[in-house]
Amino acid sequence: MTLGPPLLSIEDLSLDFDTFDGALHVLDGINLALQAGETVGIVGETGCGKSVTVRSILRLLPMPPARFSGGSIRFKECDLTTASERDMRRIRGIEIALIPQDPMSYLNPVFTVGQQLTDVIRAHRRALPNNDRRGGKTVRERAIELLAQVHLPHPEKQLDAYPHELSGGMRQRILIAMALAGKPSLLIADEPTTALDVTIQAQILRLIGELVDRLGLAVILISHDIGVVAKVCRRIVVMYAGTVVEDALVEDLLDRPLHPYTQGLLAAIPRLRAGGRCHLSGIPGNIPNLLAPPAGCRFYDRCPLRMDICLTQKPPLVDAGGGQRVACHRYPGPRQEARYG
Amino acid sequence: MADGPLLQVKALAKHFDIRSGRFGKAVLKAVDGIDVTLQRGESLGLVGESGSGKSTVARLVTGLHRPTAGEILFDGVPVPAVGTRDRHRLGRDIQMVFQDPHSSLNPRKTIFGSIAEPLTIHEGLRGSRLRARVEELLETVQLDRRFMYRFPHELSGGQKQRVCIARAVALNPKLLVLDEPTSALDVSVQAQILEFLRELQGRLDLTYLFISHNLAVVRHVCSNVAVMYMGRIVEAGPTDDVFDKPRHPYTEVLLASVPEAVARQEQSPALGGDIPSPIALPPGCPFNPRCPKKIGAICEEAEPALAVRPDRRVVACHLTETAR
Repeated sequence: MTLGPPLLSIEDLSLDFDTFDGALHVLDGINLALQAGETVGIVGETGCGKSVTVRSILRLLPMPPARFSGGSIRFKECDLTTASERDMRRIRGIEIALIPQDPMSYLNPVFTVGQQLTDVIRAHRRALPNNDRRGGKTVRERAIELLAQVHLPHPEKQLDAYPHELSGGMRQRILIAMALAGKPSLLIADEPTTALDVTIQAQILRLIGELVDRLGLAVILISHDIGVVAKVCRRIVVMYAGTVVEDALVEDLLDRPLHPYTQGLLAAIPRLRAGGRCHLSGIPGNIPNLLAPPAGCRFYDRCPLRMDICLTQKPPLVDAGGGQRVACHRYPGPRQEARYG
Repeated sequence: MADGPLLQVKALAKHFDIRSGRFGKAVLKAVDGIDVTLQRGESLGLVGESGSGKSTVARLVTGLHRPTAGEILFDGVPVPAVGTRDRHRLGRDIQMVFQDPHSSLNPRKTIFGSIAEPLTIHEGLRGSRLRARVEELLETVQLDRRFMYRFPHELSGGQKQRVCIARAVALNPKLLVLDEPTSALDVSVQAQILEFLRELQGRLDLTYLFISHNLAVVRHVCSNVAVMYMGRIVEAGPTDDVFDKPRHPYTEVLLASVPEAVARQEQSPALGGDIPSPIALPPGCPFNPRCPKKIGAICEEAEPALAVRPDRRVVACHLTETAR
C-alpha cells in the first residue's frame, strides 16, 4: 500500500474556533494520508468537520477565529499549517484545486464565463512565470481547451455566456474547468453534486471519474451521500464530530463496516433496490457539544457498544486487519454488530 | 361520500405568466394536465427532478395556488382557494408539512404556541384543555413535554420537523401533504422521521401525498408512486412495480442515476442533455430530446397520453403502445 511518501499527509491535526463561549474543538486529531492518483471520499453528517478539514488544507478558513491547535498537514515537502501566505498562493489552484458545492455562488454573475476563466489562467501564469505550462497558447485557446476537457458543448460560444444563461450542470462543469486550469495534482471536491438533480449528478460524477483516470489526479471528494462517494472513490474516510472513526477501502467499508457509527450510518440509508421497505434505524441522540467535548470517544453517548474505557480514553485509529483502520476500543478484535433502536 | 377516493385531481394545470426579455411575456407551464387519484389510507409518492412541477401540485392540492384549469375534488367536493371562507373549513382536513423545518416555525413563538395556534383557531381550545391537547400531540410525535416552552432555535432539525408534524396533525386531518419533509435532515435523523411517518400513518389513519426527489425515500414510505417530468406524469403505479420494472425510459434513467451505497456497483448509462426550459418545451413528447429509446418521428410530433397499457401499467410513452 505505502509506495513512497504520500502526496498529502495529515497528522494529528486539531483545529479550534475561538468563540465568545470559549474554544470550539472542531477537529480533534485527524489522520489522513493520500498517495498521488488516489481517490478518497470523506463522509459524515452535518457538523462532523469534513468541510473544515479540506478548507484547512487550503487554509481557506478565516484565522482568527480558526486556529490550528496541533498536528501538521504535509503536502509534498511543505507543511501547510505553517507555510507563508506567499507559498500558499503558489499551492492554491496550482497544486491543490477546489470544486465548490454551489456552482451559482462561486461564479460572478456580472462577468462572462470567458472573463472569469481567463482570469484564473492569467493568475496561474503570473504565479509561475517561468513555467512551461504555457505551451505557447493564448489564454483564450487554453480556456477553450479546458471547456472541451469538461465536455461542455460549443466551448467557443460558452465563453461569452453569463452564468445565469447556463444550467446548474453546465456551471458545475465550468468550475471544474477552472479547477483544472492550474494542472493541479490534488483535486478537492466539496459536495460537488449536492445542488444538482440526480441525472445531472450522474453526468458530473462520471466526468470526475474520467478526469481522475485520464489526468491521474488525486481526489478528495466530500459528500454526505455514501452512494456518491462509492461511485468515484477507492477509499472512504468516515468522520464523526471532528474525528476520523473509520478509514477503509470502499468494498470493505460497505460490506463489513466496523465502527458502530459507520454501521449505524449505513443502516439509516433507505435503499432503492434491494429490500425497499425494510426497517430503518436512526441513531438516537445528538452530536456532543464541541465547546466541551467528551474526554474519551466522541461517540460515547450514542454508542450501543460502549465500554467503561470509552468514557475516559480517546480511541486511536488502529489497523483492524487488511488495511481497514478504525478508531474504536473494541478493535483490533472480532467484528461486532451495533444494534440501534 | 365515505367510500369514494379521498382526493381526485382531474386534468389539473397551473400556468404562470412570466416576463421574458424586456417586453416579452411567456407562459411557464408548471403543471400541465395531470390526473391523480388518492384512495383513503394510501401513500402516494410524487417524484421528479427540480422543475418537474411536483411542489406546484402540492401547493394546488392544499389550495395555496389557484389552478389554471382542471379541478381538485377532496371527498367529492372542489378544493377552494386560500382566503375564501370555505377554505377555512378545509384546513381541518388537508394539512401540509414543508421541506425546511427551520423556516416553517415562527422563531418568536414557543413550541407550545406553534402547536396551539390551529387548535385555538379551529376548535377554540383554551387553558388546561389546550395544554392537555398539546401535551398529547407532543407525545404523538415522541417529543418530551419539556420542549413545550422552548423556542425553535433550541431544537435540532429532527425535533423541529417533529413539531411541524405535530402541528399538522393537530386537527386530525385526513390528508397530509408532505413536501420533501426530510431533505433538510441528516440521514440518521431522516431514518427516524421516515419510520415515524410510516407508523403514524397507520395509527392516525392518514393519507399521504409525499413529494420527494429522493427515490429511495419514496420507495421506503409510499405504496404508490407517480413520476413527473416537465409538469406531466409519465409513469404511475404501485411503487414496487414502477421501481423494479420501470416502463418509461425516463423512469429507467432516473432510477439508474441514483448512486447506491453498495460496493461494486455497475456503471449506469448517464443521461445526456439538460432538463429543457419549461417555457419552451419541445413539441411532441417533452422527454424526446434526451430519450435514449426514441422510436422516431412520432415522438417529436405527438405527445403520448398517460394511459393503461396492454401490460396493465400506466405509462405515457409511444413505446408502450405497441406490445413489447
